[in-house]
Formats: sequence, structure tokens, C-alpha cells
Amino acid sequence: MKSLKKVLAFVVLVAFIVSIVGMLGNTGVDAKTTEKVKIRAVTYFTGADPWTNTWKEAIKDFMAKNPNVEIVDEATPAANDAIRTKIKTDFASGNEPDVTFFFVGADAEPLLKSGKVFIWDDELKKDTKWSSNIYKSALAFTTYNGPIKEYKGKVYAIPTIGFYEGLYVNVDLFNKYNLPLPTDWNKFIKAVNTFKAKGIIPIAGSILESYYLIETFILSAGGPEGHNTPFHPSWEKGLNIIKDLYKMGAFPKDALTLQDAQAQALFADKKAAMMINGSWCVGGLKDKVNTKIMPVPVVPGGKAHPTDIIGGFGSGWYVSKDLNAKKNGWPVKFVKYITSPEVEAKFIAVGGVPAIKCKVPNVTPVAQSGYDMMAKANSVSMPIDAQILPEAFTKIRTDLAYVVTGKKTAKQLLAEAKKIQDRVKK
Amino acid sequence: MQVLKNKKYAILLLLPALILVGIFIYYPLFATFYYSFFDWRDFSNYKTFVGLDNYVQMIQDYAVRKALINTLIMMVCVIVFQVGIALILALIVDSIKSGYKFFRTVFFFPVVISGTAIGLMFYLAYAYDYGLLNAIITAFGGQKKVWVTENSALTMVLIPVIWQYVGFYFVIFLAALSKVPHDIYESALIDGITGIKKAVYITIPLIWDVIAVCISLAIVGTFKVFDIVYVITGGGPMDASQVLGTYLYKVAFTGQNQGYASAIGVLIIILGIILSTISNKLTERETITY
Repeated sequence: MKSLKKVLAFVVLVAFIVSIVGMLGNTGVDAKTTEKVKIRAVTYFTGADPWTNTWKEAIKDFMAKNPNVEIVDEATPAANDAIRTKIKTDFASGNEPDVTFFFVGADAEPLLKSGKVFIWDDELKKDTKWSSNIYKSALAFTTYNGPIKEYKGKVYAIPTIGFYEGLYVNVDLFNKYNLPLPTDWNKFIKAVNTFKAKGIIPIAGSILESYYLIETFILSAGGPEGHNTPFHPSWEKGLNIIKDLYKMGAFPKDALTLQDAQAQALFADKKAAMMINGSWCVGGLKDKVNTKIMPVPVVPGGKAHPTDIIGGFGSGWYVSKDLNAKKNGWPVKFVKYITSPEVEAKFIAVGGVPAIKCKVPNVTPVAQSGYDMMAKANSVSMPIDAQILPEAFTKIRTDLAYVVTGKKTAKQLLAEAKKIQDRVKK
Repeated sequence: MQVLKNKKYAILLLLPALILVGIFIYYPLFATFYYSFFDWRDFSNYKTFVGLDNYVQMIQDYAVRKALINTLIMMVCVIVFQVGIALILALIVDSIKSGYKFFRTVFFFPVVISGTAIGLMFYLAYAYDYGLLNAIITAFGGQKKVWVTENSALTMVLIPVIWQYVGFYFVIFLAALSKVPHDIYESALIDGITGIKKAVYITIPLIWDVIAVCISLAIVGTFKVFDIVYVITGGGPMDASQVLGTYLYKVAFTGQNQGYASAIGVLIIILGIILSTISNKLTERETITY
């Protein structure tokens, strides 16, 4: 009886060891790294954007493949600048997440100043199997060129989903009224006048949230050089074009208080013929066949090339330098997984422009027109808010209402915004 | 000895509350005052001492002046309409024999809804193309109207602001009215005093201390108005409905200038203290005990 007990105990022990070894073999996890690792990941995939489900699936897959890693999803809304506040305060107070999906450009600087951001250059050189898939042009958007020595010329974030801004056109409405597509300024103005006469809103644009109107018309007026030179004289011309269009009645009647989400709904419901907006709107369109995206036409006397556009890679994956070292490099491994061609394809299938070479299945005609616009672009400029102080840009955006209603000139407004910008430089 | 022992317990019991208030109210208050003397942006660890620069900027800032005027207008309207309507409703409901509980629930209901939800509700009601008001107008054959303009914006945000908290003061007044002894009213009835005369000469003086507290609360509450205005108009168009709370948010979070926003915060705190002190002085009466 005693020996039977011993045999049974031996069998149970062997079975236990075999099952553990088998589990590790199935998941491919290194037996040495079975210690549980928690990775805090902050993104703005909160459900208010089209990529949330893809993100959730990706972290689920990663955790299934790596059972010793737990991804703590700390999604924070981008609306009302909540994510800006969270990330900046987290990095300033030493509570930075392991992995952060955050804006690049002007927003990256406070993070880099904290000295806590992982520099990707060595990893990009070391792991060419992964890095050779990342477009160099996309990496240029996350390469730092500023006064912080440690990061000068280095890649501080891995780009993934890019964007473009352009003119969305409801092609069926243009066909209905025998209008040519607005490929130049005359056709654009003709369309504005015709639609207004027919009781259709010509451009679903919001003056309250006028980011895209400001950027695209300044680019059209000043070309990339004018657009990318803070407070270039062409900025005044760009703002005056918006004023002229407002006076023509090109925008919804409540454009001064209309929010961008409602403007998008007007376009999607065919109550408006055109819309100036970004690639993030593609997912929300109801008609993905009779909608086309094209560059905003060059304004009279404008310096832009007809295919110059606003776009680029406005967000990227940041990793905490210290936490990556402390957690055996798992934060970097996770970002490498998220930026692999397979996962990238899933994200891009929902919307956006890929920063990583991947095969995207079933691209809709409207999304294809957006990719074509990006591919044929003579130049791609980052929006103005990535170039000047948020406070100065907010002044231009929120006070644009004074300009379009004639209460203030564009020159006055730009002078006020420049004063804000200069106050910091001193 | 027993008294001292009791006091010890009282202090011990008060201490947690004191610590919490200290951490979450007084520390941020003094920190805000401190930060208002710095050029501090992006919530970073880097701050530059700029002395009174933020206050000088505040004096020159048109949006601050407009927000200040709008806040003062809002304060007057809130006292007159919010507290006033609540008092009238309380007097009416107190005088009816049946339906007391029903009216109390109905009038109090908006208080329990969050400001953001109310803001969204009114934003959607005012919208030009998809709005409720224009849908009603067009259903009756009328023309659609732009409801929120430069001239109307302040009124359009005042309506939900006032509507939301009428019920709050209404319930306070109702509680105060229930404590007024009936024999006073009976004596008044014998003297032939009824209706409005009864309210003006008997009820209001008897609950005056409660009215004074409500006025103080309304004044302080006006400085906290933010969510409804932010959702409906964002303070626009052209700062027409800007209040100090929405402008502070815009500077601090959209503009990422926390130093200047702190100076605006200090202005709100100081104005709140000054105006509630003035209101306390103006509404001071000899307390009537009954």
C-alpha cells in the first residue's frame, strides 16, 4: 500500500513537471523569464476612435503568446487634451508608463526634457528584421531636431499610424448637379456657389474647431515653405481665404459653435457636399464608394504645388528608458510586436496611413483615394500646431471667429498669437 | 478632566477630515498662488520665476475681462432667477395640501443629473441642423434658426445653468418653511394677512438666514460654473459666453500654460472670497428664533 502511494506521488509529480514544460514549449516563453511582468500602456484608444478594438485584440494576442506579461491598458481620451495632461504630468512626476502612444513634434519636447524616454536608434540597428519594415520617411517624423542634446538626431518614438488632411468630396452630389470635381480653385468656388443655391451646405467645416481649415488653407497660400515658417506673411492670406469663404456662406450656418463631430455627420449624411478633414474620418463615413479625398485646391496666387498636403506621423510609441531596463526589455518587445507588419496591417485596415510595410486587405475606394493622395504628394507638412506653442495656436484657432466675422483682422490675430509665442522665447 | 478627554476624542475625530481638506483644498490653493508667479508650461518640471507678469497679462487680456463681466452677469441672474424662482416655487408648494412630494421630486430631479449631460442635452437641442428646437419649429412650418450667436450665447447657457440648480435651493427653502410654526400663520390669518402679504411680511423674514446662505452659495457656485458652458459653447463664439472657469481650462489644458492659468485661478479664489463676504454683510439680519 505504501509503495502504491509512492508510485502515485511519483506519477503526479512527473505529470506536473511535464505539463509545465509542455506549457512553456507551446507558448514559446523562455523558461528563465517566467516571472510575471506588468506593463502599463497609455494610449488614446478609448473607444472614441476607430482603432480601439484592434488595439484590444492586439494586447490580448500578445498576452496569449506571452503569459508572463500582463498589459495594463490605461487608455485616456484625446478629447479635451486629457491625454496631454496625463502623459506630461506622468513624465514630470516620475510616474511614466512603460509604453506610451503619444503625439510627436512640439508635444514630445517636455517628455524628452525629463530624460526618461528610450532612444530607439540602437534597437533599430540591432534588429533589422523588424526595423527594415519601417519606412525611413516615417521615422523622420519621430527623429528629434531641437536643443536637447541627448536626443538630437535620434529616434524617440516608433511611428505607426500616419494621417493626411484633405478635401473630402461627396462625388454623387457633384454628379447630381453636373459639377466637375474641385481640382482647382475655380471649380471649387463654382461648386460652393452651386451647392449654396441648391440648399446644400458647401463645406462641412467648423470655425470653432478649425484646425484643418487653418492648416490646409495656409499651406495652399504659402506652400510648404510659408506653412512651415512660423508667422510667415502667407498665414494672413490663408486666414483671409477662410474669412472669404465664410462670407460666401460656404460653411454651416452655426459654424461658429458647431463641433467637428457634428460637421463630420453633416458630410456623412450628404447634407454637405465637401469637408476639409483628416484621414481619421474615413472609418466614420457611411458611403465609402461615392466619396473621394483630394488635396485642397491652390488659392489664387497661392504658392503651393497642387499636390502639397498636410499629413505625416503625428503619434508614435514611446518607451520608458528605466522601466524597460528594469523589466528585461519587455516594453520594447511589446512595441516591436505592435509595430510588426502583421499587427500594423490590422490597424491600417481600420484607417490611417501605414508607417510600416504591410499588406492591407479590402481597402475601400475612399481610403484608396486617400492613400493615392498621400503617395502622389509633392510634399507632406506637419500641421501648424506641431510647430508653434499650443497657447499660440489655440489663440489663432479660437479667435478665428473674430476674423471671419470681421471683428478683428487676420493680421491683428496673428500679431497677438506671435506675442504669445515671443513671450516664451525671451 | 472628562471634558479634556472628550475634546481629545473630538480633535482625534476631526483630524482625518482636516488632513484631507489640507491635502486636497488648502495645499492646491497655496500651490496655485505660488505657481501664478512662474512661467510654467506643459506640466513640466521647469518653471521660470516671472514675478507679476502673469497678472499684468491678465489685466491686458480681453478674454479675462469678458469672462469676468459674464461671470458677474451670471451671478446676478443666478441670484435673481435661481434663488428667486426656487423661493417662489417653495412658497407655492408649501401652501398646497396634496402633491407636495411629487413637486419636490420633480423640481429636485435636474440636480442629480451631471452638468456635462445637461450641457450635451442643450447643445443638441440648440443645434442648427439636427437640433430639437429647430425640429419643432420646422414641424410647424417655421424657418430654422441659429440659436447660439454672439448676442444670444450667454442667455443660452444661462438657461440650463439656472434650471439645473433651482431644485437645490427649492429643497432647502422647503425644509426651512416646514420649520416655521403654524401658530404664527394662524395669528396672521386672524389679523387678515394672507397670500403675498403673508409671504413678504412673515415667511421671508422668518427664513431670511436660510435665504442669505442660499445667496452666498449661489455666488460661490457661479465661480464654479464650467461643464455646461464648456459643452454648449466652449465659451464662444468670440468669448460671448466665456466665464472664468472655461477660460482657465482653455489656458491650462488646451494652451498648456499652467502659470497663467494659476493666476486666473487666484483671481477666481479672491473674487469668490470678496463677493461672498460682501453678500454676507449685505444680507446680515438679526436672527429670529422661534
